[in-house]
Amino acid sequence: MSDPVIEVRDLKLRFPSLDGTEVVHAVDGVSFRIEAGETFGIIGESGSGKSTIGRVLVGLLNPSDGDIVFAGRSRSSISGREWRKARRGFQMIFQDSNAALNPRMTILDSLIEPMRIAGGRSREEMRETALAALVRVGLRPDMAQRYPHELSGGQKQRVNIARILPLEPRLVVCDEVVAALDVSIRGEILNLFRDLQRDLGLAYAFIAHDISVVAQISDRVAVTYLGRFVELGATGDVIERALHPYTVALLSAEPQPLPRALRDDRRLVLQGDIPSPVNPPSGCRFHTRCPWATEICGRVDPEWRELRSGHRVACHHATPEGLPSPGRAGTREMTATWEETS
Amino acid sequence: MTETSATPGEIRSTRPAFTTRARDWMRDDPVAVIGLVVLLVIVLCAIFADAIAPHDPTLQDYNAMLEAPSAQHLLGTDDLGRDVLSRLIHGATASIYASLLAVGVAALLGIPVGLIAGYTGGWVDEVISRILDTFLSFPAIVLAIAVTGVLGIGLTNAMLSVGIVFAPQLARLARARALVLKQELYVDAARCFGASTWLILKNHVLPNAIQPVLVQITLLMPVALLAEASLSFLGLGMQPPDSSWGSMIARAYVYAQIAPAQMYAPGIAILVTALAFNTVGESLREALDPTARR
Repeated sequence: MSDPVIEVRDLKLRFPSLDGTEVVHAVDGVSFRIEAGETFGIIGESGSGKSTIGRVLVGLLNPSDGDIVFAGRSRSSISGREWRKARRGFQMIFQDSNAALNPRMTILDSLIEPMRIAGGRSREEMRETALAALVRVGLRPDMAQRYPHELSGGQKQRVNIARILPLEPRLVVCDEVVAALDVSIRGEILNLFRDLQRDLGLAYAFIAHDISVVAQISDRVAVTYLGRFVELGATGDVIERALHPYTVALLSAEPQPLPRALRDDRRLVLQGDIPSPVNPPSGCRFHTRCPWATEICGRVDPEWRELRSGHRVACHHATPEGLPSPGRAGTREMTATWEETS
Repeated sequence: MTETSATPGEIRSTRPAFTTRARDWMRDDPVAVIGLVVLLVIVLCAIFADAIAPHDPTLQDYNAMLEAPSAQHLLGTDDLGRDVLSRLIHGATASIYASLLAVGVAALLGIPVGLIAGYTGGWVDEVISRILDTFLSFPAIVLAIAVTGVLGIGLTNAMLSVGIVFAPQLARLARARALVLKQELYVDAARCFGASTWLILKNHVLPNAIQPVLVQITLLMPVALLAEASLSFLGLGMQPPDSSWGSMIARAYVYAQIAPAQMYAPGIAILVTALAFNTVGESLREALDPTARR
């Protein structure tokens, strides 16, 4: 197999907490690789560290520990000017399409900016390329002379996509790119991402809290909880045959009966909030909210096991056949309840 | 979708022509137009002072001291019998030069230092901020006197020192803006494109930080005028026999009871100039903000 576009090895990221007295473990030991042309989905709730992972993938944050290998080269071995050139292959689209555009620059100037930084094109070429990119993402060329505030959210997101096309990125990190958009526009933007991938062979890291969005576009999905991956596998496997209790809870919280297997009359409702990443629970991080939790879960950190081909999970109770029924495994008082839905 | 067929060639020239934009501006902001005209008149007076002034500003006439306004001396004469109107016109040169110099020095020193401190952060910011605090903790006039003492007496040196004294104010403002702006997503995006710190400061931080700084600059212009007056009053600025508005007030102040006209004239000149700077500055701020377009 050829080199992955990006490889993350035991990534850890720690921040000082706001008052500076404690350490927040935003990402705590995550490893994965993204292959050329694939869409790698990352799901998780707020505070799970998924956006932090995204920012590390494009070099906006540096890992506290672990290494990132960009197109075969370790981040730590690339420096200064060379890094500024190398990072052009790794771009990011943000949730807030408006904030990602300088309000004082016309759309044309914003489109030209990355090319001007990259160099090697004449003014005229840059303008032509910019207008072509604008058409490619489905906007009229005369949008180019407008300012960001004159465009709608969806149009601005298209502009953000158009700006990175001339850089010919290998990986595009999409951080909640459709979360702020109307449902009607969501589909169009997701289709645009899909078309661009087909035509240009882009790889995506698709970050979202909305499992249905990630499921629509991703080849593989990773589920994050408190700075770790709890499950990783092909999208179909993860959704149809979830191995981790947290994934089961996420899927059952999904309002649409998207996968048929989930059209269940019961819903797994987790109690409480995600624990603080300042002081993560011992053992399995999910054991405080897990209906399957037993004594071992609070004591031993579960291994990252490949239970089925390409389908990994970090759970003591998961078996290749799935999870046992919670009543049998659970000996502690219930931390989650199955609620009847009508 | 009727206007789909805009060809690339048409894109460039769709910004309204200069004359159109000027006309719109005059319609929308008549006060600023008046301010601009006033400033132009003052600047023209400053440039062509020799041609406009009816008398030699340094010619003394001991037979006509402290005279009230008359046909010959429209604004009267001062304590040495010199024509106040001529001195006022010549004083415009000194005063405009003085305030531009001081504010220019303040902007050139303060803005880059503030932007770098705010954007870089860490120990650089720490060091620069402490230095700024030190400067700000001195009374401005005392600091200016000290700097003038080092640089030597004279209008240029006096205004250089005023500029140095003003710089921390602009630096602080620029730093505060840079602190906010470096968090912006378009700065993150530019970093992903591989932009250097210098490019990010130039393309993203400076243009978005300049608004409040510009307003502060227009507010500093009249303060610089007054600082010039103070320093000239103390004998550190404009040296006799040449005139500046500040030195004229300083001198006329002694005779305020007998010949008030001489004090009103430079005072009103300072007031009007200051107001003109403010209205133009405010209009400039609005014009630079694309989201505030009406």
